[in-house]
Amino acid sequence: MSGALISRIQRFSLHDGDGVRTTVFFKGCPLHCRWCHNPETITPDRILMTHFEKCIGCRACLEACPHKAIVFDENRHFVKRELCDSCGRCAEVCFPEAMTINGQYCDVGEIMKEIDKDKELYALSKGGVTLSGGEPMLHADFIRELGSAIIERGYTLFIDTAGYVPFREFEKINDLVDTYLYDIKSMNPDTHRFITGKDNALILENVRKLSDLGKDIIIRMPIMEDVNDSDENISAAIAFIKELKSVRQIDILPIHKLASAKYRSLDLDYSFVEDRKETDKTVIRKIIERFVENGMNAKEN
Amino acid sequence: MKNHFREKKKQMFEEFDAFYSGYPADVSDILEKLDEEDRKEPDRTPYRLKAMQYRILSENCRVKVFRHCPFYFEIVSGIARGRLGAKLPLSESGFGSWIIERNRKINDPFVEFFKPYEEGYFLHSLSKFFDVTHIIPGYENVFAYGFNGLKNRVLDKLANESDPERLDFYKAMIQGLDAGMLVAEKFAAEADRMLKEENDPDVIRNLTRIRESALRCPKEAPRTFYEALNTYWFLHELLKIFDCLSIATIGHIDRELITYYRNDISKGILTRQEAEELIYYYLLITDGIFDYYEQGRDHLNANMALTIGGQNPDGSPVYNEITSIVLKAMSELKLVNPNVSVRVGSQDDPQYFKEIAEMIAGGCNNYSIINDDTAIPSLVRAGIPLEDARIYGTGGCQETVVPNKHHFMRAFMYINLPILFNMSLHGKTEDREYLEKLFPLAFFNEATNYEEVYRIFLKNFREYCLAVSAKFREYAPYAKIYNPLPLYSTTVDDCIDKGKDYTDSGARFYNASISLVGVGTLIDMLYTVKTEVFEKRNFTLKQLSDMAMNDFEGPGEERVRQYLLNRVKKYGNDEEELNRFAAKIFHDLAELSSGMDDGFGGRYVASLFSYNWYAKMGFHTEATLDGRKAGKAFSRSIGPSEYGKTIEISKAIHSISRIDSTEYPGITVLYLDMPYTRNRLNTQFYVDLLRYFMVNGGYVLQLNIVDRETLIAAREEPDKYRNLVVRVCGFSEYFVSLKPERQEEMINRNEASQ
Repeated sequence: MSGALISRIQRFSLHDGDGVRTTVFFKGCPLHCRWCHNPETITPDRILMTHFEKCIGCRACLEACPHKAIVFDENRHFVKRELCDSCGRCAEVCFPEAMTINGQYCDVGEIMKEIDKDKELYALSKGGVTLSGGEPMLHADFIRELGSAIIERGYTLFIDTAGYVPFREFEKINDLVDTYLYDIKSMNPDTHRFITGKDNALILENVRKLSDLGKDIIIRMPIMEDVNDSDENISAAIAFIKELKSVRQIDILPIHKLASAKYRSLDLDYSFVEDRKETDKTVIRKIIERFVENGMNAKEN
Repeated sequence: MKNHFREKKKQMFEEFDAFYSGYPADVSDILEKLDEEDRKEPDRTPYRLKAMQYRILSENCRVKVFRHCPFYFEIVSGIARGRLGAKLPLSESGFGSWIIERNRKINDPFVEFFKPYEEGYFLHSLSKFFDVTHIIPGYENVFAYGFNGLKNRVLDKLANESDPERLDFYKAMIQGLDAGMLVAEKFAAEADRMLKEENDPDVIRNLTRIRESALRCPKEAPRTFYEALNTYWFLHELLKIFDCLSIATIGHIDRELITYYRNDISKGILTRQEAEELIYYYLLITDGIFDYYEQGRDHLNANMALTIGGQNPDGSPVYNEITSIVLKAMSELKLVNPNVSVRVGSQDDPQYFKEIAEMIAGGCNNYSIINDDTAIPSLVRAGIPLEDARIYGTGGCQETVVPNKHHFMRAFMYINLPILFNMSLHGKTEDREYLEKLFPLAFFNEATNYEEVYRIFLKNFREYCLAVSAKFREYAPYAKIYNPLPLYSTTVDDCIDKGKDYTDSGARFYNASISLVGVGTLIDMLYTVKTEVFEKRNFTLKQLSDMAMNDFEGPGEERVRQYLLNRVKKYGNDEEELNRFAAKIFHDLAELSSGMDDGFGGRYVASLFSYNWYAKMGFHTEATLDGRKAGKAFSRSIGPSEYGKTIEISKAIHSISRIDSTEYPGITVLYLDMPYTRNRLNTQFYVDLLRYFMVNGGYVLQLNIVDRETLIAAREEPDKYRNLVVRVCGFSEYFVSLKPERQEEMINRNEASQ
C-alpha cells in the first residue's frame, strides 16, 4: 500500500466545507504564498519545528544531533537551519516537545483509521473529509486510493486546492470528488505572482475546466487589504466566476496573523503579514456585497 | 428582551437590593420564643418539637411583599442574603435552623469524624448525613390537592391511628400545613395593607393579584398559570425556612404547568406575552435575591435548578410552548441563575434541538444538557420504575432525582482518587495513621505486575467506599431525630400513607452516591504504571514514587516528568487502546462504589459528579505519576486530564464512547471549554455537537463558550466585564467575582482546549 507525507489530521474542522469534517493536510505546495497560514506544509519533506518556550534546558538534543546544527545560547537553543536536515533525532529525545518534526508518512489504512472515528459526526452534520495542504493535488495518485476508501464508506470528499497542477491530475480523481474548495488569490497575473510566486493562468484554466465538467465548486478568496482587495480585482473575479457553471458559493477569507508562532518555530520570516494590519471587517463586508449584488452566494469564512 | 421589561427588571432589582441590604434581619425575639417553649417542655418528641417550631414561626414571622414583583414568597427569617439555608451558624441561616442548632450534638460528631480527612483533602463531606439540598418537593401534589386537600388526607389517617410516633408525625404534618396557610394569609394581609397606601396603577394591579391569590393558595389547589407559578417560589421558601432545607430546585416548569398555561390561554385570561413576562420574573428572582457580585468566591452559596424538556410518564415528549419561552428567556436574560437543566433525547423534535442550539449560540452560560437516552436507563438501573424515571428532574447543579417520591443523597461525599493512589503507593506516615482508622490500607510495594497494582488499588477503593457508607448508615437512624420534615413529607408520595417521615424511609425510593474525583487523572497514573513500570521497565514503582513525592524537583527529574507527560499515552486522546483501558476502570469503579445499603432502604449507585472538588482537591494534592505537578487541578468528572495538554473536542467526546454512563446513575459530566468567538459558529454546529455527544453515550454536557482573551481582559479590567457569566462546574458565576486562583484555573483550562 502506498502512502504520503501528512502534516496533520484535524478532526472537528468547521471551516473546510459542509458540516463537521476531518481535514487531512498534505505536505508540499507549488505556490509560496506570502501569507500562508500553514507554512510547515509548503515543503514536501519532513521539517523541524522548534518551540523555545517549552525548552527545559536539558541539552539532550545537543548530544542527539548528528550534524551539530543545534546551538545553546544562555540556556536557549537555536537551530542552524543550513546544517539541519530535519532528521528528527533531536525531536526523538526532546520530551518537553520543544523540538518536533512535522510530517509523518501515512498509508491509506492509517489515515482511514483516524477518519473513521468521527463517522457518526459526518452522518449527523452532513460533513465528511476534506483533503487540504499544502497542495493535495500533488498527490493525485495517492488520493485515488484514499478517496476510493473515503467514498466507499459513504463520506463526502472535498478537495481544498490552489489549482496549480496539470489538469490531468484532476482527471485522475474527478469522479471521486464531491466538491472542490478552489482558491483564487488574484485575477491579475502580476499581483498573483507577487503573492504566490506563480502565474495564475493555469489555475484559472483548471477551474474553468472543472466547471465545464459540472463539478461542485466553492471558490475561496483570501483577501488582504491593499494587496488584492482592489475594485478591479473584485470586478474581474465577479466577471470570471459568473461564467463558471457550477460554482455554488464564494467564501471570502480575511487574512489574519494567527500563524506567527508557526513562522517562529520554522525560523521563517512573517513580516509581510505582521507588518500589515489584519483585513478589516468592513472591507470583507463590502466585497461580499458586491458579489451578492451580482446575484452570487458569497459569505465570510 | 423587550425594553419595557428591562425597565421592570431594573425596578424589581432595585427594590430587592434595597430590601436585602438589610439582611440578615433581627429575629432574636422569635429565637427567644422558641427557646422558651423548648424550656417549658424539654422532652418533646422530635415531631412534637418540629410542630412547636412550625407554630411559633408561623405565628410570629413577618413577610415581605415587593411592589414590583408579581410573586409572594419572602419570609423574613433572619437568613443572610445569598444563603440557601440549612446551615449553621444561626446568625447566617435564620430561625429555620433553630432546630439544627438545638440538635447539633447529633450532627457534630459526624462532622468531627470526617474533619481530619477533609483537612487532608482525602475526601469532602458537606457536613450533613442527610441530603437536604438535592431534593425536589412534591410540587405536583400541592398543585393537585392544595394544603387543605393534603390536610384532609392526613386527617383521614390520623382518625384511625394509634401508634404514638405516627400520631405525633401526623399532628406535626397538620401543624406544618396550618403554618403554611397562615403564612399565606400574612401575605394577603400585607398586600392589603400596602394597597391602602398605593397610587401606582401597575403596583395596585400587582398587589391586588397577590392579595387574592394568597387568600386561596396554597390552601386550595392553584387554578391558574400564575397561581401555579407562584406556588413554586412560595413552597420553595416556605419549606426552606420551616423545614430547614436548602432545596435547590424550582420545578419542571414546562411539564408541570402546560395544562394551566393552555387552559388560561383558551379561557382568554392569559396571553402568551403575559405568560412570557411571568416566566421572566420567575427566572429573574434568583439573580435578584442573591448577591452574585460578592467577591472572592470559588463555590456557590446559592444555586437554583430548573428542569425543562424530557418526557412525560408515558414516554411522550414534554417540549411545548413553555419550553420555548424558557429557552428564549435564557438567551435574552443572561442570568447567573437558575441553572437550567435542558433534558433532550435523540427522539425529540428537531425544532427543539434547534431552539436549544439558539440558546447556546445566544451566549447563555448557565445550563446543562442532559441526555435522556442515558439518564432514563441509568435511573432504571438505580431501581426506579420506567414511568417514574421518565419524569426525573434535577436538584442542584444537575443531579438527577425523581420528583415527588425520591430521596437521592447526592454530592455529599467526594473522594479524592489520585490521593488514594498515592497513599497506596508511598503511604506517608502521618497521613497513613488516620486513613487506616477508616479502613485497612494495602500497598503496591509487593506488586510484581500491573494487575496486582490495579487489584490492590481497587481493594483499597472498595474498603474506602464501605467505610464511608458505613459511617453514613450509622447516622441514618438519627435523621428523623435531628431534623424531621413533616411539612415537606406531606408533599412526598407515600409519606402520608406509610405514616413515615421523608427522613425515615417514608418516600418511595431512596438512593445515595459517593462522588469520585479525578478519575481521568487516575487513569493516566494507572496507565503509566502499566506501561512504564511493568511493560517497558523504564522505571521502578519506587523510583517514580520518590520523584513524584519530590515534585520532580531533583536533578534530571524535570526531564522524566516531561517524558511522563508527553511520551506516555493519555486518556482523552481518542486512542482505542486507552479508550478501552479507561472504560474498564470506569466500569470497575462504578461497580465497587455501588450496592451498599444506604440505611433508608435504598442502595448506593455510582456518581462521577465532581463539583468544584476536581480543582480544590488538586490544589492540595502532591504530584502524580502522569507528570502532573503538585497543586494542579485534576480531571473533571468523566473527562480527561486537562493538565499540560490540548483537549480536542472531537477526541474528548469520542473518548467516552466506550464508557457505559448508565452505570453511573449519579451522573457523568463532560465539560468542554470552547474558546470560540461566539459569532464564528452557526446554530447548526451546536445541534451537531449535541447529537454527537448523544451518539457517544454521554450523560451531561456542559459547555463554556468564552474566548481566552475575553477572560484575560476581564481579569485585568473587571469593571468592564461585570456581566460576563462563566460556567465553573455545575454552576455559573460572574467571572469577576471568582477568587484569583479560580480565574487562573479557568484561563488555563480554556487555553488547553481548542
